[in-house]
Amino acid sequence: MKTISVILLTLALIIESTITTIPLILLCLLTLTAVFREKFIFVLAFIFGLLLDLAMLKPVGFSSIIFEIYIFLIFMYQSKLEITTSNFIIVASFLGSVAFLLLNGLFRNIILESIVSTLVGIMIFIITRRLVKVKTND
Amino acid sequence: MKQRPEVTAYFLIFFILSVAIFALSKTGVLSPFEPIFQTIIAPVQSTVYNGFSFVTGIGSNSKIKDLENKNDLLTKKLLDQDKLIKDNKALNDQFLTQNPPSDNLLPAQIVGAPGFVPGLSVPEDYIIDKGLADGVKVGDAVVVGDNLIGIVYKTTKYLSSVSLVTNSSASFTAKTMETNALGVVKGQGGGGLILDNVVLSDNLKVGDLIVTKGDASVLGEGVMPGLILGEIVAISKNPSDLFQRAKLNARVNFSKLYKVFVVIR
Repeated sequence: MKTISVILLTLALIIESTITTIPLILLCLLTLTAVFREKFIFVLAFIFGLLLDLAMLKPVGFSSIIFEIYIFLIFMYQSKLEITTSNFIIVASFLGSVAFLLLNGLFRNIILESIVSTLVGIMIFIITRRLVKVKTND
Repeated sequence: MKQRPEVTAYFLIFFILSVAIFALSKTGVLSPFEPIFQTIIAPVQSTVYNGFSFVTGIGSNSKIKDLENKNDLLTKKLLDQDKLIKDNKALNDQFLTQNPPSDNLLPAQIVGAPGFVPGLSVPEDYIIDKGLADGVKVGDAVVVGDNLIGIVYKTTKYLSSVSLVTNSSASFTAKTMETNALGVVKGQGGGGLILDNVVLSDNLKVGDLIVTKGDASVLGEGVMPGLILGEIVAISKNPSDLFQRAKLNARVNFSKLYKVFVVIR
C-alpha cells in the first residue's frame, strides 16, 4: 500500500509542479483514502503538501493544511457515506478541486478545470483499485 | 468507534504541524532550508518540462518555425532601425535606447509552467532555475529576444517565479511604435493582452507593435523601454468613451518556451 501511494504521489507531484494546474496530489490523496482508509495517509498528505509548496515556490505548509482538512473530512464522512464508490469520488473530486483552485487564486476556468479534475480523479480511482485488486490476487 | 479518536488525533497532530510550518515560512525562518529540496527537484522538473515540450513539438511544421524565426529577426531589425532614426532625429547621442545589452542577460531554463491543459493553455507564471545565488532579484525583467516575457516576483536561492505579461494581475506602461500613442498594457489571463487607457485623440493602427515605455528608476529597477509586448489585432474606439483600447496578440508562444533570459541589474 505504501509503495503504490508513494509512487502515485511522487508522479503527481512532478506533473503538478511542472506542466498542469490540475490538483493531482489532492485527487491521489482522495483515491488513497477511499481505497486504503489508512491513517498513514495523513502523513503522506503532510509530506507531499510541503513538497508541492517547495516546488511551486508557495508559502510552505499551505497545501499541507488544505490536504489535511480534506482527508479529515473524508474520514469523518466514511461512516455516513459509502466512500469507495465512483459517485462519492466524483462529488469529492469536484468540490475538492473547486476549493483548492479557489484557495490558490486560480479563478480562471475554475468550473471547467474542476470538471476535468473530476474525470482525472475517477480515472486515478479506477486504476488504483485495479492495481490493488491485482496485487491482492497475487 | 475507537478509530474516530485516532483519526482525529492524527489530523490534529499534522494539522498543527502544517500550521506551524506555514507560520515559520511566512516569517522567513525556513528560507535557508528551502533551497535544499529545490536543488534536487529542479533538474527533474526541467527534464520533465523539456521532455513534454519536445513531445508536443513533434509534428509541428519546421518551415513555419523557420518563417516565424525570420519574422522575429526582421521585427528586431525594424525596431533597431526605428531607434536609430529617432536617435539621429533628436541628435541625442548621450541617451541610450536600451535593448537589453547581452552582458546583462542571464539565461534561465523554465522548470515549471503549470497551465490548465498542458501544452494548450497559456500558463500565467513560470518557475525558472535561477535565483538569488545567480543575482536574480524581485522586479527583474525576463525577456526572449526583444520580447518582454514577464517580471520576477519571487526568488529563492536557486529558483524564481516569473509573472507573465499575460497574467491577469500584470500591467505595463507602453506606447505604439509607429504612432507613439501612450497607454497601459494589461494581461487578461489565458494568453490575452489589451492596450487600454489610450486617449481618443491618439491614433492606433492594426499591425502596429506595442513596446514598453520604460519605468526604470535611478537604481535600475523596473522595466527598460523598447521591449515588445505585442501587436495590435483589433481596435475598440467609441466616441462616447473616455479612452480607446486595442486587443493585442503576444508575439511569443508562452506554452512552447523552454529558455528565457533574465535582465540582471
